[in-house]
Amino acid sequence: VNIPPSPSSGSTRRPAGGRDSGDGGGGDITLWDLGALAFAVLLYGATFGVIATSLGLTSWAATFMSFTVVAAAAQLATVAVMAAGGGPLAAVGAGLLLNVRFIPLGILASGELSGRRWVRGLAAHLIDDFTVAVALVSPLGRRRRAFVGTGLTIVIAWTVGTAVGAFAGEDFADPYVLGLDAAFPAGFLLLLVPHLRSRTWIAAAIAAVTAVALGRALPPGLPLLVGAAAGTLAAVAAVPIRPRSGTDGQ
Amino acid sequence: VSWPWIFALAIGTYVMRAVGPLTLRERELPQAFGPLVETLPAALLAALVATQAWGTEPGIPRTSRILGVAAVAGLLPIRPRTPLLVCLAVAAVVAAAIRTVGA
Repeated sequence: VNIPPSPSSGSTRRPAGGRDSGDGGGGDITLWDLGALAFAVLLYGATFGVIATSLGLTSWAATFMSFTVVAAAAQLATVAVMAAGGGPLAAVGAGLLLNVRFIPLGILASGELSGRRWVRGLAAHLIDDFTVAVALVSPLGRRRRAFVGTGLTIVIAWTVGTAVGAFAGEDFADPYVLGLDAAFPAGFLLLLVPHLRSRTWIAAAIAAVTAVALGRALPPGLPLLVGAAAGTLAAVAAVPIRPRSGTDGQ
Repeated sequence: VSWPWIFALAIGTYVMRAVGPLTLRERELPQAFGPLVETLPAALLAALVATQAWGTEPGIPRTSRILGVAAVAGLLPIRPRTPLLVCLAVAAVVAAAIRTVGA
């Protein structure tokens, strides 16, 4: 997969390190964004509900699973392995393996989660590829708002969507006919673009190629982590750090 | 999948989510990690876009999905501030249209 060059890496100068005012970068999360997210996640949740119940889960179990696990890939993997006769240990193991990425994501997010221990503990449930990515591209003072806003939207929409699909049955269109599987990577692409600068371009390219190349060699979930680590380390090693790349950009 | 196993999946997932936030608190990472932390989000996002666009499920047409994502990739350099709603819709509509035509 080639990500075409974006002018933002060269000509228009993006605020590099100091994204502390609302100028450019990822910008602010609007209610429209949350609405779009809720709509897409609802549809996706409904299809999970249909799939899960058709594979033998009760409607309540599927809904409970969505509320407590909140990870589409892991839930699908668990239900699918179970239905294929893999046994509960293999099923839960497959799901957990897909969620190993929440450890580094949680470490990335931990800087944005302040407050008391129980608040941090609750907020941890919202950690997700999307919520952490949104937080990281948001202006500095609004990261927590972006994280909590998208996180609550996803948990609610995913749970309600699952319930609708699980209880209302199979009257839902195929997510692939709707093209929903293309919508999610496109959403991540939007988040990626403001991150692309000279060094991060190299990291992004290496990470993307490595992750896809390892897709068949490693168990699901791991290619993503290995790719991201390889891209980051290679770019940091290859591109010398300019003096003062810390707080103020240039 | 019976209830105890759903609980196991939920608890295991939560523990992995909470490890960072509950152990790191607001401690500053050592300075040497600065470039890594600055670079990692781009790498992680790029790997996410790539693996999701490429896909893992057998039997689902890959080309239409990649073209849907590519449409947004072409759109973003022209209009960097495209709203999320438009990005999701463009990718979905392009992929769905190609599938309807039967590619």
